[in-house]
Amino acid sequence: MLAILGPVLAPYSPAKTSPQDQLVLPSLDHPFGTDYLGRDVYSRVLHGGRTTIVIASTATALACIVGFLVGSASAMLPERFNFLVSSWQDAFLALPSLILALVILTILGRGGLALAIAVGASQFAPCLRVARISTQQVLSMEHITAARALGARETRILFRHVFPMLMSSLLAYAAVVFSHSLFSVAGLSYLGLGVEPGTAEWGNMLAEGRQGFRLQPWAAITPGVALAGMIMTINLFAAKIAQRLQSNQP
Amino acid sequence: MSFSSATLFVRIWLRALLTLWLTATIIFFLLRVIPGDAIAAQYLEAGLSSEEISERREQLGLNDPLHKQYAHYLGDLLQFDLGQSLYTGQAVSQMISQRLPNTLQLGGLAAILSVMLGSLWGGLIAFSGISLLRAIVHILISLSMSIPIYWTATLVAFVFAVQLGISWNAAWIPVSVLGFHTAGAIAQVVALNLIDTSSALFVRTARSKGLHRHSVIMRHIVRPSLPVIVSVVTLQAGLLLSGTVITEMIFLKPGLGTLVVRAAIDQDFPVVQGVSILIAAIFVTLNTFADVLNAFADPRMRLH
Repeated sequence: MLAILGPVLAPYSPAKTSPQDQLVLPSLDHPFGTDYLGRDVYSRVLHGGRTTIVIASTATALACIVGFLVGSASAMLPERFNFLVSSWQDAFLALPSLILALVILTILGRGGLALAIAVGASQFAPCLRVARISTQQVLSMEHITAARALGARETRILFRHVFPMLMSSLLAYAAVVFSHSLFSVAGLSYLGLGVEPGTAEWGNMLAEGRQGFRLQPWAAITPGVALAGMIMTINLFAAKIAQRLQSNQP
Repeated sequence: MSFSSATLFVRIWLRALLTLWLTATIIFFLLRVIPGDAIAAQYLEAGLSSEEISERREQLGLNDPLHKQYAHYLGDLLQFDLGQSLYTGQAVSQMISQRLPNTLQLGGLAAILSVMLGSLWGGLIAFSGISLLRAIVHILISLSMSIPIYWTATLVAFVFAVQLGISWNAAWIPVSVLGFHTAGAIAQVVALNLIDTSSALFVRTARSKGLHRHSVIMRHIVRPSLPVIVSVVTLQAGLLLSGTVITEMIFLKPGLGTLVVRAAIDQDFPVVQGVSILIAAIFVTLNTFADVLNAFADPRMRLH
C-alpha cells in the first residue's frame, strides 16, 4: 500500500541530488538519511517500491497467463503427446530460473521491460507444470465425463468446466510466482543486469547503498527491509490461501 | 539387479540425456535470436573496424544458415567444445574449469550445511514436544525463505567488516549465508514428509506393538521418508545454484556465478551459453541420481 501511494507521500524527488547532504545519517529532515549522492533514502524507497512491484507484476502476469493456458491446454491433448510435453517441460525446468533469466537478459540487454520479460519467461515452466497437473486432476472428475458425453467441445470444457474449478488454486500459485518475481527482479537489478543504474528500484538501491555503507548503512538497509517485508507478506498470504483451499477439500 | 530394474536404470539415464539435449536446444535458439547488430555494436565499442567485425562473424559461423549452426553446435558440445569468449578469445571450457572448483566448494559446503540445518529444523517441527521451540524454528524458516539472500549478505559483510573487523569474505561466511537461505525450503519439505508418514497405518501398527518411541521414529518414519526427501531436496539444487551465483557476486569470489553475470552484462553469449549448459547438466545429473536412488531404496519398490 505504502509503495503504491509512495509518490504522493515522498517528501523529496527520488532523483534529486544534493552534494552538500551526502551520506547524512537519519534525522527529522531525512528519516532514513541520504545516500552517497545525497538523495533522500525514504523518498527513494517509496518510489522504488513502485518500480519493483510494477516490473514484478508484469512478469507474473506474463508467466501466469501464458503458463496456465499452455499448461491446461497441454493436459487436454491426447495421451500420445504426453511424452513430448513432459520432455520439453523438464528441459525448461532444468535451467534454474535465475540462470534462464540471465540467458534472456543477455539477448535483451537492460531496462524494465527486458527485466519483466526475462523474469516472466523464467517462471513460465513452473506455471505450466502446476496448471498441467491440476488440470489432469480435474479432467478425471465425473462432471467432465458428463460434459464429454453431452458432446461439449474441448475448448468449451477447458473454459467452462476446467478453469472455474482451478481458479482459486491457480490464484494461490500466482501469489507464489509474484513473490519469486519480486525476489528475481530486485536480485537481477542488484547484480547490475536489470534497470538502468541510478533508477530508484529496491534491488538497485540496495546495490548502490553499498557505496558509503560504513558511514550511512541505512541507504542499503531500508530498501532491503521493505523488500523482505513485502515478500514475507505475500508468502504468508499464499500460505493462508493454500491452507483454506486444503480445508475446503473433503 | 533383475532385468526389469536394469531397464528402469537405463531408461532413467536416457531420459536425462534427452532432457539435456532439449535444454541445450532451448539455450541455443534463445541466444541465436540475438540480432547480429548487437554483437557488431559490442565490437564497435571495443574499437574493432568493420572489416575485423565481419571477419569475426565469419569465424563464429554467424553467417551460416541456422540449421548448419545448430548441427555444428551440437557436434562441438559432444566434444565438450564450448566455443570462445567474444572478447578475450579464451576457450569457454578453459574459463569454466578455472572457476569450477571454487563454485563446487561453495555450493557443496552450503549444500551440506543446508541439509543438516534443514533436517534439524524439519525434525524439530515434526517431533519436538516443546511448542516454543517449534515456534522459533517456524520463524527461522520463514526468515530463511523470505529475506532476499543479497540483503543478508550485504548486512553480514557490513557487520563483519565494520563492527568486528574480521575479513568479510573469509570462506565460511558466504557458505553460512547460502546454507541458511537454502535450509528453510528443505526444512519445510522434511517436516511435511515426516508428518505425513507419521500418520501412515504401518506407523500406527508399530506404535500399538509397543515399540519404543525412538525406534518408531527412526525405523518407521524417518527411513521410509528418506528417498522422497532426497528427491525433493535435489529439486532445491536450482535454488542453491542460483544462490551460489548471487553469493559469489556479493562476496567477490571468482567462480561460475561471477563469470556468467559478467558475461551476461557484456552480452558475451558463448560464455553465457557454456555456463548455463553446465549448470543444467549439474541439475539434471543430481535429479537423476535422486530418481535412481528412489527407484532402488524404497523397500516397497524393491518388491516389483
